[in-house]
Amino acid sequence: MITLYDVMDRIQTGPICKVADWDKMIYAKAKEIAKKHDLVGIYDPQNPVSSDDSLADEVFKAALEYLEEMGILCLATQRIIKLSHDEIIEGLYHLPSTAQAGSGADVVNYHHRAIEDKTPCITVLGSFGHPMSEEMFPLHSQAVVQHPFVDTHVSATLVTVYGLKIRSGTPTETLAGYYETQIVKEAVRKAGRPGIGIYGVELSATAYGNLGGYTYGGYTAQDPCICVQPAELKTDYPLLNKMIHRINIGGVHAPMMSHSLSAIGGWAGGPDTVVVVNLAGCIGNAIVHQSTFPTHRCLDAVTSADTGRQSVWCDSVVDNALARNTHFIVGGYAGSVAGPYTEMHLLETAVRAMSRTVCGCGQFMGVKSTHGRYLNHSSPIESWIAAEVVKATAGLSREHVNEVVKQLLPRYEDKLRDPPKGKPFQEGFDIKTLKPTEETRRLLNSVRKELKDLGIPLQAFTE
Amino acid sequence: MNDEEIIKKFAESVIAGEKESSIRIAEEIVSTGVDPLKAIKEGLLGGLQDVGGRWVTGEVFLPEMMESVTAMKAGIDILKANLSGTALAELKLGTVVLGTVQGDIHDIGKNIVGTMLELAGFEIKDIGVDVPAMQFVDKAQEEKADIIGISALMVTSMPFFEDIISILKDMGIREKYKVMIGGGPVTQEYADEIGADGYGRDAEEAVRIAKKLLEVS
Repeated sequence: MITLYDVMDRIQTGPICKVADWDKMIYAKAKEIAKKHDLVGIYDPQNPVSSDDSLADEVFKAALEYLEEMGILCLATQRIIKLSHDEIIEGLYHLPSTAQAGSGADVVNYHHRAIEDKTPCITVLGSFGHPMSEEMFPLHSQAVVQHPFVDTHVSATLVTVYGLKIRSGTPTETLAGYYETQIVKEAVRKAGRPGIGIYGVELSATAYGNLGGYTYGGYTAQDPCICVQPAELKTDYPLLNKMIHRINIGGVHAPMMSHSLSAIGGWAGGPDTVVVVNLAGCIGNAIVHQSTFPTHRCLDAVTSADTGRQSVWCDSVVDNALARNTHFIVGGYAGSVAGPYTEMHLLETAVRAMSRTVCGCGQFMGVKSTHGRYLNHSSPIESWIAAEVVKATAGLSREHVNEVVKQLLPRYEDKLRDPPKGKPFQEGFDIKTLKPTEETRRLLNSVRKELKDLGIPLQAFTE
Repeated sequence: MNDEEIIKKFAESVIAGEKESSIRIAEEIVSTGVDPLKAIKEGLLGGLQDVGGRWVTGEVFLPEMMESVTAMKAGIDILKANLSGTALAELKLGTVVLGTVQGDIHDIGKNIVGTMLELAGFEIKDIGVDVPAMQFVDKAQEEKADIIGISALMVTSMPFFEDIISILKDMGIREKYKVMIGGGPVTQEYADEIGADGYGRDAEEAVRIAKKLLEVS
């Protein structure tokens, strides 16, 4: 089996490959393997939530072959971390099927979920990296984690630290990494969730924020580490440094997520090849980074959204493949692009929450908005709706959810290139009481009602 | 084949990303005396606009666009020898130094923009990812660039846009370059706030803005 020492060796001794050549190889090899496995023309726009298990299994076989042929490229050294067939198979079995985050009464236990699993998926919710001011940041966190279905928390990204602009890779990032932990921990304590697991360090663009935050008095080994690899099948020193630091403080079983990001229309091509590349990246990055939560998403390169039809389909196929063929705790995302306090944002979020839950995700992360463009444009209600939909859809069939998603997609998919901006957090919430305004409550309840009428068994709410 | 047919085949080979065909047809253009400038302008560049459009609609993907760029460059290399200095200058819309700022290793958006700009006729000097601010300026000076194109996907990398502009001002060379910025969290308002010359919300708009800044078509 591959260890961290193997990884550290291979980033220095693996075969050399320039990044430009790597990027060209991604699609060329994917086309070859997709053709070999008869995966050409498989995209099914009429069924965005796939329930084709034989397709999922074939994509899985293709992805294993692809990963063995490609490996993972280390950008810093431009050398490939090659994985043998045995190392990949061993990795599939050695990566964990259970995990834990948080402490005390707020501790949560994750486990591998099967497709249509009746046990609920763990929610990882919050602003998910949206830029927020020092003033609004703690209020937003506190408001999000008030909801009992929010199991763990992922915060916003601070843009200043004590008034200084944060610049990634500089001392301000290191300073802000610790600062984030103090603000978030106080915020969740005020919400009555002092032990809730916090995914961090959200603002850590490089390793410095992470090193600053995971320290005495900051985040602990029970707070899952965020380690997000870029597209496609790549890693780099900052990400490997995060991996090592997490092992230093808590060992290989300290929870950490890895990621596989693929762009439909980008280096991985179209949906047919993206599913192979994305799945290979998910498995490869999980093995290389000794990950607890292999996470993945396929976003549309034109709209940068993952809530469109192609993305929903691609992610459902990859989720199905992982749920059926591994015991991973698979992570899903909501990368909504509309702004907060808009119907579109709630519908995008709901689509992602339900589709990824029924396809076997063990954790669901969210909720992004507006590509992170507008300061403080993130609200708790999107996290709340995500939490409610994730819990309500445990045990539903993919076919049922597919029918719901088919109703919801046309409501927003033509707006993904030019979505509504929404409004900032403080304009839809009373920031003294941390309750939604009447207008916000009406919007949230109207979407809840619509989802319930479509067949999503949301729990009781005030109409 | 008459001139129009040769030019049409030239365009088709480039749109299809067939480098060898592009070279062969370019050689035929030279040997048969077809106007090389006409072949490039009518055959290549018009067809390549089509490739960019088809990327937006999902009919082609980034690797296929890159193949078209490679075929285009191979064909133009053959024809260059038969072009006057004036004609060559007319073809090149401008030089763009393009990179992702320090602390940020995301490049897919930058790569798509770079490819679309190349398809449109710009020369791209891609300096990669995690690039310190001063390196953008150094490269722009070295390449005598027209545009410095800066990308960031991380919010905490955006302050480096301002740093690059500050360096240009402090060196007294701000007016020599047009500065364009882009990336997920970037907005027109932010571009205006920091004094950038242009912002592209997506790759298509980036091409349009780049042409507008350099007053070319």
